[in-house]
Amino acid sequence: MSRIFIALLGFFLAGCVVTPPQHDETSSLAISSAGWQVLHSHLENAPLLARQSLLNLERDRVQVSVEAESGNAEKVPDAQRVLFEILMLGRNPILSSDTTFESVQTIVTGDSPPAQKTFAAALAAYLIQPDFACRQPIYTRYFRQRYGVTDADEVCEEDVPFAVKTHYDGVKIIWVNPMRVKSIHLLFAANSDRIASRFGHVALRLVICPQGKSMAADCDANLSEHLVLGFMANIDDLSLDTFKALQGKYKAYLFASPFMDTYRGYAIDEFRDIYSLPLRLTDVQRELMVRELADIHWRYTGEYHFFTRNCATLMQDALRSTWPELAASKAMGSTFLRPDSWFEAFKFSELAEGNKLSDLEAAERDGFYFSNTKIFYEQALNFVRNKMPSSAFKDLVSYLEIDPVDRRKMINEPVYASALKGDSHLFGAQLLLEEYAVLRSERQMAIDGAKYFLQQDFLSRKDEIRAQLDDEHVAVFEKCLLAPLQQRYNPLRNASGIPGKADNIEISQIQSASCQSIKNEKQLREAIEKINDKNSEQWQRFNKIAQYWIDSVGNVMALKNFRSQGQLSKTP
Amino acid sequence: MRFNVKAHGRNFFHRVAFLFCSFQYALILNILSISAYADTPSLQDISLQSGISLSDWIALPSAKENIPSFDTAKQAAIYIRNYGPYRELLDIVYRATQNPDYEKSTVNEYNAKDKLAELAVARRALGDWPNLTMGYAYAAAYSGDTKKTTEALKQWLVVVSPNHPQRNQIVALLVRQERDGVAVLEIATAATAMKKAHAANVLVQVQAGNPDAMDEYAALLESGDGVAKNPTEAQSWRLKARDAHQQQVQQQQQDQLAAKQSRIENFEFFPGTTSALSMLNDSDPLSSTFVGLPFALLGVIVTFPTEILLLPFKTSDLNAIKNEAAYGPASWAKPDSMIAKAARQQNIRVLPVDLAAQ
Repeated sequence: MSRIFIALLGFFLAGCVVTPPQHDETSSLAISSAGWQVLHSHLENAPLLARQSLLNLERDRVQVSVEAESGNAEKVPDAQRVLFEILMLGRNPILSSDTTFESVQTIVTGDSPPAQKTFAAALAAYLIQPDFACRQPIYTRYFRQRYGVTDADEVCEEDVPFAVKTHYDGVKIIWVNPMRVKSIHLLFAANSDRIASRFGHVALRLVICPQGKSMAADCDANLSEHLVLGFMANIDDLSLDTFKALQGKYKAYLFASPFMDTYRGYAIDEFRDIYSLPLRLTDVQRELMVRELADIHWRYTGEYHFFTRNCATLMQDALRSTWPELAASKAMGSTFLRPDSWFEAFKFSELAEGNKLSDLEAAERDGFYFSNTKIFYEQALNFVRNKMPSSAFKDLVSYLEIDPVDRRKMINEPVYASALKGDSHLFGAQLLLEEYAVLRSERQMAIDGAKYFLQQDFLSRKDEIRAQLDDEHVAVFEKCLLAPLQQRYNPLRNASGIPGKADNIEISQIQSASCQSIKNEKQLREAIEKINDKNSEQWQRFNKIAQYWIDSVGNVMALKNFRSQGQLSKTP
Repeated sequence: MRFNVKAHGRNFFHRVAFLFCSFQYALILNILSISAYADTPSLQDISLQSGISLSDWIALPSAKENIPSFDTAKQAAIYIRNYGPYRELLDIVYRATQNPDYEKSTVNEYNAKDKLAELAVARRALGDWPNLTMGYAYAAAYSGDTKKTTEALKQWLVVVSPNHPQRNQIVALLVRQERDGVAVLEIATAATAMKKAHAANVLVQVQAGNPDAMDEYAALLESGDGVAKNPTEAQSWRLKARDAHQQQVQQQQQDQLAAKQSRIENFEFFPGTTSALSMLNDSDPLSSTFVGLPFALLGVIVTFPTEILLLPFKTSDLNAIKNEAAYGPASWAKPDSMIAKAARQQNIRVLPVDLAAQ
């Protein structure tokens, strides 16, 4: 009710002022006596702090100036703008930013103080916009704590959106109902030898139940819908510049990814173990945390410093702001700079169910531990090697280095083919190895592709390229190659907080949908064939790895059809 | 006309002849409120704030684009206001207005409001040009705004060539609007009817299994031209189109594949390393601590090599392989692991059906 009152007040105030000009002009707005009378008559039920502070403005006979935003005048409600200008005066410390707000602002947006402008805008929006609590839950909590404003009236949309980066399909908007989040885990990907992951990586995992099911077993096994939220640096180069990364030149965002993509990235591509530690949260805390993480997800942009502002420190800040128990915890009070140290301490704190990880066999069964897959592939390889009469490989590397066409010949040898037919475990092992060849070559193809882009430097050559192509090919080349190259870096952001369904969030697809049409792909290929230096080593290499990949996929396809055909086809 | 040209020198005939030939250019002068130019200097003599001459600016690649960007055209319009209606500047603005995004055919019920705002901005900055103004009229009509539609159609009559074939039709429409008060919005309903008819034709070809038609139908579903907008279904038709296309080339592909076997001979899969698994060094752009280009651009990259565009398998099969490959290792080695349970729950086939049943 109090917010409705203050919203009404805002409109009354706006009604008492001189109508602001529409474009690019500034005027002084004197709030009339009648306006203050209205204020008096409605302040009775307002929270004491807000009421007193606003009444003090009458005594000062404040005048504010309002500058309409050019071309945006219709979008900014007058009442909110007037209130914003009043608050911008900063005359009353009670209506001014404080250190708590500054730290909340840093956590939510990544911006640093001075925060008065942000504060004024946020408070004005909080008091005027009916859906503010749904869009910016973290600021809402702060204002409620500070001013004692209670408002149980707002009903948020059931689902909150996340812009989820998928491995193959670019960015997708996934709507999550916080009530379907059965638990939230702290996810830890174990250390590796690489600089960027020497201390491991932490993120959060949302364990989301399948639609219409809420049994723990259903939810735990619903891995394809689980999401991972983690602070990561966004590379805006064609390849990671380690020096730039160490200097904090890459921007950090709270990225969302499908759990299975994360699993694939760590457990399969990098052979790293994953630990998933459930947080001790009540249902209310969990729902609120999902909404507040969505708030950060849509608004946070900050620097990523490998040692001081990394995935661990940023996540600790975010969790402290959304989870009072963590903020109050003595054991977890200080900030851990290393992900592995933080995870280890967290595991033994009262805030997490550390016992879930005491027995890794059980943890793997129950979804709290996901072992890296290296040993699985090695088991498969040894199994195959023992059964294959002419095995010319001793380990995974030597297996992958065999031409896929020759691998198919090996698989198709009568004795081995017969064994494959009768032994499903052997068949599974063989399939696993060929699938691994597909995954590995696909990864290599991505790396070589990036190198090819670097070498070709299409962006700086665009004028030269345009001169070589006709208009139609230029159009496709620009739309389907240059534009995605130029736009690829920008994660979806929304300064006003969590978008609603009515906002029709624009997804800047890496490739626009029409680029996937046969015609456009054909034209893009023709364009590239025309401008490409086919003799370059990088292009040759890229084509070779592409061929390797295709043939490996062909091997998998052939194996899958093996049973019905009795033998693999001769060519991939 | 509110402008008067009293130029002399080499550029004079050039410019005046052009202006008289181009009704549109004359109008832009009117719109930009250019009233008098006397003794206009040559382009080389006009020095811009940046220190270069106006002729240098006109020679910049950005101004030479077939369709210059909006910012370039806006700048040209400012120079026209400041320095005069030079043919080269007018030409830049004119070419910018040929942007396909401004075409009336790109407007539909789903994007009308956005288009209206976009074209309003373009009109304010560049002035009224036939394409822009008609596009705006359609956007207003689709938005149901009679007043704006009428205003734009009237303005279009002012700026368009007197011989334009659609002129009489628009005049008749405006007369009826004046008389009955409900006519101009018909441009939107008529356009929608044409789009629906076109979509119906495309659908017939889709049902006959034509992959190109499937692609076109996907584009219609994406834009909402003549059919209910449905991006999800559009994506589904894209995939169907690809599969249909791939099936068509499969036979031809079989022959090509046989010939390719020799190409990968001597290929060093992991050059310069002894271990495939340590190949990805510290500068690995795919490190999972960072979110970067390679994954994001994979979709672009894989369209490069010629072979990949003619994959000898369906996209749906490929997607299944990628999915199964992620669930496969743990499912094979640890059938009681959560990954294996998830694969079973989600009916992800990590083994062919007959083997999985054993």
